[in-house]
Amino acid sequence: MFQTRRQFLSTALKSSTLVSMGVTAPTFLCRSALAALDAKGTDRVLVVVQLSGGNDGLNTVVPFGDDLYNKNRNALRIGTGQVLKVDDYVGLHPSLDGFAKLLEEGRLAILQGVGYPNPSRSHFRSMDIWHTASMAEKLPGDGWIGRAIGRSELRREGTVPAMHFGSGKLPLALAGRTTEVPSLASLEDYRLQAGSAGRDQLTAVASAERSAATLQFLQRSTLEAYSTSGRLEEMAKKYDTPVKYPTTELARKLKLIAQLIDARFGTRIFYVSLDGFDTHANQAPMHAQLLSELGGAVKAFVDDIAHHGHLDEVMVMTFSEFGRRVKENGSRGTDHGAGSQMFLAGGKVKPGLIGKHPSLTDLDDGDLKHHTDFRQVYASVLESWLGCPSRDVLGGEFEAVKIVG
Amino acid sequence: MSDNLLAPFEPTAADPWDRRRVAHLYRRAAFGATWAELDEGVKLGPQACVERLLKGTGAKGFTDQDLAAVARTAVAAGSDRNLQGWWVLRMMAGPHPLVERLTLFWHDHFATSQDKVANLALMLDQNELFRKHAFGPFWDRQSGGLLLAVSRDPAMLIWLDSNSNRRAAPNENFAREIMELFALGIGNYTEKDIREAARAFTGWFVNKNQFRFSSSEHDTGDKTVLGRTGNWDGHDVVRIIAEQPAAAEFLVGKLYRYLVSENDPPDSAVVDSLSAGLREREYDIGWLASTILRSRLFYSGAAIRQRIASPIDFTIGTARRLEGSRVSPAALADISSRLGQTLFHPPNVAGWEEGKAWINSSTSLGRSNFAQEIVASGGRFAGRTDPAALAAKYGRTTDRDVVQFFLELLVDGDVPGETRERLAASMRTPVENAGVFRSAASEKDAKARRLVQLILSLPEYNLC
Repeated sequence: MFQTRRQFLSTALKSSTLVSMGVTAPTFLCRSALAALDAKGTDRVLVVVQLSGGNDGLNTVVPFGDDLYNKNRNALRIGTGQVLKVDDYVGLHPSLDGFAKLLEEGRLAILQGVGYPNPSRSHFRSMDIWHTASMAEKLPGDGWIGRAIGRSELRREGTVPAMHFGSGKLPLALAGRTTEVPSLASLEDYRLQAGSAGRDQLTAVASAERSAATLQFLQRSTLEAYSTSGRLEEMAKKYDTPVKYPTTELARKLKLIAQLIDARFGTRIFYVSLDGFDTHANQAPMHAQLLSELGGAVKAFVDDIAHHGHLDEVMVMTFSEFGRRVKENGSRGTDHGAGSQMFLAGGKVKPGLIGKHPSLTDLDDGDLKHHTDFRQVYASVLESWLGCPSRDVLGGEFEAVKIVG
Repeated sequence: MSDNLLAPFEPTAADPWDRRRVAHLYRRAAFGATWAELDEGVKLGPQACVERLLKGTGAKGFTDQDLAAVARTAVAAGSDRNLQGWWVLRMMAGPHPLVERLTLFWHDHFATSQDKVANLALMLDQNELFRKHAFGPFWDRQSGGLLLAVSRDPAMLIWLDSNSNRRAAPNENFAREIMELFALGIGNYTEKDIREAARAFTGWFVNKNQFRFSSSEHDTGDKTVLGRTGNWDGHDVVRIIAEQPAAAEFLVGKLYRYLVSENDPPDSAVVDSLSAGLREREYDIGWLASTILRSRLFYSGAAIRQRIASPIDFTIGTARRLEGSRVSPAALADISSRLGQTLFHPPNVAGWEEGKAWINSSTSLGRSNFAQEIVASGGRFAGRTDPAALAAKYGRTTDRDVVQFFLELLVDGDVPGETRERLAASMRTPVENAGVFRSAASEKDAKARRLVQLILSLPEYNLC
């Protein structure tokens, strides 16, 4: 039925990709394939879901029990009767029924009041801060995940430590100095049309040593693509699941990830994005649709992972570059704000609310104040979930938050 | 120092005016050169060659009238794909490639996407606006230049929600992006400037696809924007922004990255000198582009191959160099899109990130696949390129000459010795029976196709 890691690797070892590379191929490929055969398949996996555009946290986990919420959200208010109550003060947006079910099952954590000091309201600067985990004037060129996968704790030779699913550019979070993270629009697209003989020739001409840094970068990306695509072709055969995923783009990507996890591909961090949260005007219908896509896809993914027996190996983490102003604007939308919540999902998360909802009276220039730095959450995910020391990755010590239950 | 770097390039024995420098000019100021254009450029010499690109290459290809008709048809049919194809056609075979280059620059700079605008006619209008103002002025006192025109452009108003910018509740989206991304850059304004500027833009609407000002929705109170207080409207704010010293530097930095190098930041003396010149000339972008393209700096190692080819550079450049004049522009637009650059659909208001962001293993595979597709004797581009015939047209027929010809045409002849040997060896290896080139007319034909595929897949070919 499902291909095991062992079956996969023995196929890959026989296939022309590895065998034919000979002296010009990076030797790590052969060594690593052998090393991977001995690996146990219990590596924990992190799936990052980026909500791009600045998700309106206040209408995601709604403080319906607060008069100030009702005052500030005249057109966009989600009433007490509509929210999916978490407790007597906050409830989930009605389109997040997928998350509400996960919460009932004890598979969802809601980290409230997450942000960083002196927040930037620029999409680009703020997203870069979340990606690099740095607030320096001149941000580093690599991202927190890119740095993490450069460390031995997350690197197993011959596996791809992190992968991005999406058609856009590689998120800065995944940029590293030595490793190029693959970025896949879909498994079907990720195929070298030249076939195996063509692959050998292309690999051979691209393999000669280059000295310029940009050429080395281009070369690494090309060679990585040639070798990974060969492996994926073997794997993309078929996948059975009784779970019915919604027909959304996010669900499609998460299903591919479930497939790779089940096939023991060895990747530790997967990254996907859901775009469209920059709701300056006519927010309500768009926001509802986005949250429905988010909740539905993550719920199906967690169910699928559970069905295949990997529930306790996988954690999903969401974030957005900022929340939005407490007060709605005049276009039935919201402008850029600060701070928001993060969601964690999986079999091992500490379920329920973590941290208090930020005050609606004590605002910072019209925005919610955070009480938890997002780098504390990264530190916790790195240390207590992925088993990777966080100090060097994050450029400092950040007090952990208890997220694993 | 900067005067020296910005002085016109004059060839010397050590720095000759050769195919390599012509190819570089055509990669940056056009969309790649054919072999004939390389030879012609060498004969013209540097200043005349730049002059030619500034005036437009005209002649062959299509006229503006032909092209306008193609655009109208695409819009009338509601075909996003055909409109993309129209623009690709302009870049490939239009009368003025440098204008298209700058139009693409402005499209990236004032990145507006059909995803939200959802109106091809307005997207076309905006594109024509960029073309009309390609050489500037970016802003001037009389007309307001490109910056004011874009601020009133219906597609832009829809894209950044100015269309719902009411007195009672200003929408900050456009006010933020004009400062952050269009004219000043982060660090040159405050959050308060954005809020005040948003008030000044209240009342700017789109109605029936036209700009309209609604005085009843305009906030007539005093606003303080960038340290200046008054009852400002949108025109005033655009002027106040354009008069900031940071504006010229911001623009120079951005065009430098586009035309010169995305690796090393520019020398500050160069930026100062160009910014001062730009201010003196009321933001004349034609002057800025021409000064850069003629300069010693532009033909030095600080510029040559210091950019990564965008998907548009990669696809259109390949079709041009291989003289695949019958390659479908819409198909090239599709491929560019798969490689991460969909015309009229930049990813967000910051435009394409460019540089290394173009490259990941998925797009690397895509580029290799395109390299095969464009020279395959079957498939969607079947018969559109003919490498063996192209080499023969320029008198290259022996294996050795053919390898040298394509290396010079495609990668400035600059690859590691080992790679050159492997390419030469490929000409001595039979083409596989089952391979994609098997239906080629002859073994020689098939080998030339395979050779070009291999060169187009080299890391070097991704440099621009």
